[in-house]
Amino acid sequence: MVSVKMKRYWYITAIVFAAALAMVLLLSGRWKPNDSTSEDKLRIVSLAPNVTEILFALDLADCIVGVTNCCDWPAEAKSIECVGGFGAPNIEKLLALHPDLVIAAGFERGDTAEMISKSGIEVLDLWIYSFKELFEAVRKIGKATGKLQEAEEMIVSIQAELKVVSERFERIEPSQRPKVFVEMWYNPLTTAGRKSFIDEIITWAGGVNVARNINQHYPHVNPEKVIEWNPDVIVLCYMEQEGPTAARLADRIGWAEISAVKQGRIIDNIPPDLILRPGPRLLEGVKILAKYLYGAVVEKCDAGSEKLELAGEVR
Amino acid sequence: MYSKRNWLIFIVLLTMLAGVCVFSLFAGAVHVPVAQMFQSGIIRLRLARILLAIVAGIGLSVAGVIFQALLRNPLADPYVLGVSSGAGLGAALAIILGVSVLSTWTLPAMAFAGAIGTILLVYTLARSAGGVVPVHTLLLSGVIVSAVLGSILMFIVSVCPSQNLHNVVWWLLGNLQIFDWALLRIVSIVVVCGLVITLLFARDLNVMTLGEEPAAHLGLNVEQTKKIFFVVASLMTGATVAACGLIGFVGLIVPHSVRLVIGPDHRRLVPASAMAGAIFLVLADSFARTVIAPVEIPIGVVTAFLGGPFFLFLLRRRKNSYWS
Repeated sequence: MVSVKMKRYWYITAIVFAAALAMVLLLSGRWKPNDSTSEDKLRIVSLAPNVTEILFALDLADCIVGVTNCCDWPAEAKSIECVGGFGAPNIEKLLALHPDLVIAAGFERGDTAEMISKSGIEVLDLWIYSFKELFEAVRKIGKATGKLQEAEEMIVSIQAELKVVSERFERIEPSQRPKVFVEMWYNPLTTAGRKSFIDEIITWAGGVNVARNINQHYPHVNPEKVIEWNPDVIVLCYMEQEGPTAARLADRIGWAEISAVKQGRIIDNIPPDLILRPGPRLLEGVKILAKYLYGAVVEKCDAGSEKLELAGEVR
Repeated sequence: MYSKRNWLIFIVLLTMLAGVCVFSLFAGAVHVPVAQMFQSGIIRLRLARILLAIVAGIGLSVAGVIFQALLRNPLADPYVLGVSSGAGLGAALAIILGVSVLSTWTLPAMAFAGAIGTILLVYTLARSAGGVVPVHTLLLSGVIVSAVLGSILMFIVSVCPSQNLHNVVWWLLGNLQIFDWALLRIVSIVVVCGLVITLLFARDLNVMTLGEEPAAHLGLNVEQTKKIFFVVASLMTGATVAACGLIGFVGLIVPHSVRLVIGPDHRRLVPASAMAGAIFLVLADSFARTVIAPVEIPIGVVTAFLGGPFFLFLLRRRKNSYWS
């Protein structure tokens, strides 16, 4: 510890550590639990945005005491206390909220569920990969929260509306229906296979998923394969980040000869949550996609709190 | 051997450790009133984390000291012989084969098995006919095995279904939250035994740094010493990785920085690194779970963030180097 240079570097290190200590000190314990045990309502923590949507749809909004930072619909969900990320709750905060029921759609850590249930809290872990599983999940949530009847009503109403949508194209032969390619990520190119609910969305909307023969959830596909499939419609649907727009697709090598690109039938303005989030709003996604595939008129439609205007490329 | 200055440093380090631990009990997302502290489950969770951080800090720093001494390479860290890839592969297999849901022990056990298996593989590959394991061969075979296992891991990660992928990637980032006291107990036993053995044989580490031939001339049984220390360091690293995942930088930075203050004598370096490593990790952990609560920063990110500037500093000083 002799030279001046070394002393300077030690000071820098000391400052870095002191800063770290100070940050911890200042930012610690920001959340104080309020002992509002006066209500005898069920206290639910949701660890996934689709679960939050289902809970709101079942009219359980005032029972929710904790959500994740991805729970953004409806707008009221954003004002509920955040306990962490998708399937990754901050255990301290979760326990301090004294929930009765924790509902997740997959945990980041395998042993979180066990740990929570050891604390006497009921845990529901619902992985939703298909419409059938969605209805099962709604039923389970309904049973656990005493809203089984509302859950059954919701399921019946969704199924009825799906039937109404499908009446539009029932008379058209499957081989005449538009072939749809859903692009979920561009690097590597990812689409939805037969096992995914997105495949079902396409089918309910009257299209045919070009990737329906791949028996996986979200397979990576070679761009050559897409050229071979020659879809009539391409849906660009990225989770959160921005991806290439419709115009850029033609720049991809060899893609200019794809039917969808040639005719400009590339849809990039469907709100991704309507197709990617397995909850009650999937119905809206089906409706919008159906209107794209078969609607010949410019229509305004409601998608949750957003209004979409369909025009242009719709044939 | 233990001069007054050294006792002072040890006392300072011990006090700092105690202080950081108490500090860390109060740090977290949730504010726990002092009156409720003793019954609070949250405080018990924090205590488990602190204990694991201490154990992991000791395990990784001492393993780092051992590897740096035996391999005579300043870039050696506990993962240099491929332990990280092996443990990662073990954990990934556990998650993907679905066995990790059988019990909370399966994942750590398979990660540990992966770590130890890798060390055995590396050691066997590096052994020459006479039973001698030259150090540079060991290093090389470690790097190669690490690369091969890493590529297998990448292959598995690329073809497995999306849900499992997330769990694997998360695990690789390292996490000090532990829910199982029994696991903590076992890891502590392994690390503490390793620490005790290292302390007892620290003088031999001093001799090893002179070089293998001079060490042999000085009467040290070089091969046996190497074997013992490799086993000890590997077990400590394996146990730490099994419990916490991969936490980088600790095993590399802490030995170097402590060596700058206390000198290269391993009889002092080993206990001091152990304590410094514990302090560093407890502090990093309290940072990781507090600063952007309720979201938790992966511990590996925090150790790199706090240790990175320090590492740059080390690179810049070539004089006064104990490695020239």
